[in-house]
Amino acid sequence: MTTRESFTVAMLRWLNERLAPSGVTILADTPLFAPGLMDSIRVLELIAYTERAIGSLVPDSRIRMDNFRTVGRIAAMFVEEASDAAA
Amino acid sequence: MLRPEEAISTLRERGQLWETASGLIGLRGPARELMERIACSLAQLASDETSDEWTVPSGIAFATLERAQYFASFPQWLTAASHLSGNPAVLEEIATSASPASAARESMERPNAALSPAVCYHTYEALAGQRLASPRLMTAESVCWRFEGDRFAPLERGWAFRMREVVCLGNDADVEAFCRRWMAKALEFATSLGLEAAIVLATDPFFAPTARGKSALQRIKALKHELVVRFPNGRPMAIASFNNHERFFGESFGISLDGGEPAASACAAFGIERWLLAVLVSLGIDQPLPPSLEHMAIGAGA
Repeated sequence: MTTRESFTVAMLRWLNERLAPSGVTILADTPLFAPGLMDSIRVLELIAYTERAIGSLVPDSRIRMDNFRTVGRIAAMFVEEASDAAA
Repeated sequence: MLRPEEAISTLRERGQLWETASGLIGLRGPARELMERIACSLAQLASDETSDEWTVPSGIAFATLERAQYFASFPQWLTAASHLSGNPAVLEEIATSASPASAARESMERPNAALSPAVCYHTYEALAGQRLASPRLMTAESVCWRFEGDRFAPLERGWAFRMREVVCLGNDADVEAFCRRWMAKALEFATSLGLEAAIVLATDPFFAPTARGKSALQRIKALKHELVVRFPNGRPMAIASFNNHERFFGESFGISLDGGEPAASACAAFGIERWLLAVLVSLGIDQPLPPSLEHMAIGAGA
């Protein structure tokens, strides 16, 4: 499993255990910002989780929809390709 | 193009601008006339879209701000409205004190209301609990109060300042279309005044403990945009903002649509003193009026 895949699996497990509303299962391509899923606290937790997982801070300039649309997108944008090769 | 300090200094020297306390200014003469023309133009722009003009109160109950979660978002700006006790003994003590101002300050009642920090809260309060059969658009201009300590700068950042707002309540598509439409209208109006302005993605200066999450959500969902001009040194100044609140105020104030779902809301807000400063800095002082302002009639009471 590549680093991106393991990141995705771990983040999905965390999201579904901690943030998903009852009866909703979040998948790698589930829009995270569809109505009702994210509030300001949850988005903060999402960013904090991402930062812990990648081991560095996410600058404000990279906090935008294009980078956080789905878990798959977060993995693609923040988990380095180089790490994949080494994994 | 002038530096803002040069424009302010010139207005001060000519007696057209004076400061009564930090963040509180007065205007008269040509500067005031120019501001009234801008205010009238913005009112006209709003009335092209809605005939529902409101006169909102200058104060707002703490309970309403609590319902709007203002204390969790922008408590740093809050300016309260207080008053003295009606107790004759207290009033006499103040009146006969060697320092009545100090005595009065010590005797103020605990406040239950604030001086309005924005216009749109009044519209949500007025529509609380209602079911809207169709999208609602309303507009108002009012003085707003935001305490920003040592950041005050004449015309740019006042403790009290005039704000024209246009507010929309409807479904998600209504408010998204409203924001897009008003960004275009505001940019067109700025261009007609000779301003070089641009629409940029923005976030609110939320109070620290919740700031990053709220700002992140605003940025990710592109909920706030500003119309920005730049001073000669490149420093930006927002002269309008376009805010999509999604269903936040609809849920907070129990405002629903025909189907029973909470209404979405958005507002377009124009800081009128900032528009004046932008025009003065961009076009210079003693310059002919931009053509788009020439025809604006200024009311006798304005």
